[in-house]
Amino acid sequence: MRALLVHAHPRAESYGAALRDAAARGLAAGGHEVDVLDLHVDGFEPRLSRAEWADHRTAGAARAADVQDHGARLQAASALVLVYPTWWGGPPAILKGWFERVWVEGVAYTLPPGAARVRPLLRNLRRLVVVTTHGSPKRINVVEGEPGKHLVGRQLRALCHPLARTRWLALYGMDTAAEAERRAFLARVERRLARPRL
Amino acid sequence: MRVLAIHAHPSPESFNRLLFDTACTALRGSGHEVTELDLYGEDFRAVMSADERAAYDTDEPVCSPDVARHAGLVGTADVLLFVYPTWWMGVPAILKGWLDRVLVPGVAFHLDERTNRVRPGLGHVRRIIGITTYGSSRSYVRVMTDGGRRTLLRALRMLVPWGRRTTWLALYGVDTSTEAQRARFVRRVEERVARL
Repeated sequence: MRALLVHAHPRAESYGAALRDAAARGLAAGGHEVDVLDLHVDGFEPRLSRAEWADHRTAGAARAADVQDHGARLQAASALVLVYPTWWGGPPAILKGWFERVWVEGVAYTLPPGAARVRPLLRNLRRLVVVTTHGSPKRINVVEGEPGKHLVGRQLRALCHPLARTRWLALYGMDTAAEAERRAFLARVERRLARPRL
Repeated sequence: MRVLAIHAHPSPESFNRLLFDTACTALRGSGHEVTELDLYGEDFRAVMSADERAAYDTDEPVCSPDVARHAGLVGTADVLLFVYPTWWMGVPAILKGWLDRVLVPGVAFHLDERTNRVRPGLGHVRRIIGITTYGSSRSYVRVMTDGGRRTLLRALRMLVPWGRRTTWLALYGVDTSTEAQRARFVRRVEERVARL
């Protein structure tokens, strides 16, 4: 498959960066084509601007060059792999803003005049894979209701191919995880992404 | 009570801004002390920097002047009020970034050194209020799950003492709403926050 790997951790020497590399290695080993988009390295601006907000229903004169480029890369992929740390139950601001600015009308969906619901445009995406770490244990995340998981599994998923599948690879309790657990999770991510159909 | 009112909409001419102004005016009218934080207005940076992420794990997690100022305001607030448009069923990136950068260890919670578990740090907060608008209908928001509400009324609420109240005021289907519906919602916001 042709995978767009989007990474969102501020530190170059973090466990998050190690997960990004493990995912990229796995994808390459599985014979997949990998396009890496590192939001912090690229200096991506996640705040939707006033002009973009005013323009959001007119399919995009205000769109910046990097936003257009990311949109094109999203449309060229058959799998989307998101690698990020879960903060406050969801993706970091830089990734939340990436959805707000890049997954816009004309790229991710259309809303024809008079239609009640948006129509999906990202039918090219057949796999959504999330690789994430949670500082807190699973039970805390269950009480919080896992907003990040629903954002990907329900909302993004609704704009992809009708048969698209979502895979959730998460390390819970990262703050108290032993070195061995962290290493095991890296190995699991690499192994899973080397599968022919992810 | 001391209210910290946080606003996250890019346009000062938006309906969302009207809701924010209405809430702040009504609170002041009832004798509350309101501090306004207009995140777009003050060009608040949403992205946590590499230095900030490194500092997060140290004894001094606050290392930027804007974060220090906001953290100080959080520390003296009795009420946290959030006014924002719901995008992708969540808070806008600028507000997500505010949570990421400002509500760090020592401000919103403490990390127990021995067990590495989170201990609540917002004992002074008596109420959390959310005021938001959705493009989608109420039923569609339910199906998709309301991530913004869960972030503020579950994840954030875990850091205030058990039993403290929350208030949620929501206008669904704002893109297709009528002038009368919006005016009714403004009145509802005004009346509700005035009797805080």
